[in-house]
Amino acid sequence: MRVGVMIASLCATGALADGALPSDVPLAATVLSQVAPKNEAIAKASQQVDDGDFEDAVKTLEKGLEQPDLTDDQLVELYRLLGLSHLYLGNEDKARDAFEKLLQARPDYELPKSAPPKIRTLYARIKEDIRKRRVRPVTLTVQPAPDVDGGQAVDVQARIEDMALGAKAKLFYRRAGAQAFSSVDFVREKGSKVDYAATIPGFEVPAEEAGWDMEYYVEVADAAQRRLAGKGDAFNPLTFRVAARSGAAPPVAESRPWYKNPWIWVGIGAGAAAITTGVVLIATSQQSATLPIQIQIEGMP
Amino acid sequence: MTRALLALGTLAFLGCGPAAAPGDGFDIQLVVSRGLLDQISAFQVALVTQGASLDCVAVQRACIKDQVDSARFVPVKDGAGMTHQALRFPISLTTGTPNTQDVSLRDLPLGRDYALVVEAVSKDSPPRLAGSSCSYVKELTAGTNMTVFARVEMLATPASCDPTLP
Repeated sequence: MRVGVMIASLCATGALADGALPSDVPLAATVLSQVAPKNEAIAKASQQVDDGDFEDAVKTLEKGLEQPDLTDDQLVELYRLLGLSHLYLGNEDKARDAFEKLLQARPDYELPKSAPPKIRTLYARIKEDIRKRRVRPVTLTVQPAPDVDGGQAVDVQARIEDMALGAKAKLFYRRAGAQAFSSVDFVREKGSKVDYAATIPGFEVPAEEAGWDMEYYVEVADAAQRRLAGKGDAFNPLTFRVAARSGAAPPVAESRPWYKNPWIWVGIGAGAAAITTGVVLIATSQQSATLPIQIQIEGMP
Repeated sequence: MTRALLALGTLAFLGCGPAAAPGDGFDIQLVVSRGLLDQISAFQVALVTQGASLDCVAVQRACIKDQVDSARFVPVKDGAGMTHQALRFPISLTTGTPNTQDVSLRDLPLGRDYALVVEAVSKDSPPRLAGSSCSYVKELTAGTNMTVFARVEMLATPASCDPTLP
């Protein structure tokens, strides 16, 4: 029965048109289940695929995808099995959707060479279509971080829709004026598929006598480190203020060497300009001539 | 006694030598020179525009004021800052050879093509032109210019005109 369904599905997709699939399939286990997953749904679906029970496999996989806290590797495997199952069932659109998610996480993923040529051809076409279409746009909304008191962790909330599989959202931050950014990952909040949060540790936000600014930005990048969405960037970061320690004395004006005072140089420049102008004026203002004359009586010695 | 004789001999050597004979060059020149100086009371210096158009030979025979339009005299200032058409300098020739007198015109406008006319003013009343000099001044630049050497050529007899310029 299972084999009959499987063959019928392959015929529907044209996968057996060139007789590539052996008639005595069970599809080779080595072809369809490449990863040994620890997830229960993956294990079950993998077995179902190996048995040619693709409809049940789809149900198992769809249920498995609803589980919270799936790792990227688990998601990849779930979508891989789902894509394969839909291919064998002749549901090319659904297979395409599953492989799209898979390829976002594993752009270089290839079917095993032992996979039937028709399926590999179909997979290649889907892959090419996805490549041309690029990845689905990710929508990112970041709740601006408020000004905070020093010494406590800072949570940054973000809403990320259509998060690509394998993509990661990161919060980059640095003290204003520092050279490099540090980063923490956004973590999806439990019970939500679109709400994420990242936390800047409290020790990175020390309370000091004078208030200071923290710069930050949020970036969603796919597995290939392509930026899918972002809020701010390294050159135009967002900021929040870390308040001065309560009771701290007002900051004492930092003593700077005199030559770092811009007004000194403004004054010197103005003085030089004035001297130059004066010299030019003096040189050009002498608009009269003096004519010395020596008179001599002609004929006198 | 010996001292008295020595003093008498010395006086005889210094003050009682032979007198200069008439016609001696030194004496004659001195007479002629003094004669010229006695005729002149002052030098009148004027600066005239369009100097290239002046015939300096003709200019020296008569008073400049009668030869050019008054508008061509470049205004010159005296020591008190008063403006005149010409400045008059009392004669004050240096001793030595040659006798010269250094004067100068100040606060002159810059320009080109001038003639400097120096006239010797006689002691007559009214004064007459005793001699004249005409020099071409190509250009007046800001500041002190090159000295002009004005050689005043004396007339055999003073011209009848009064060279006085206001």
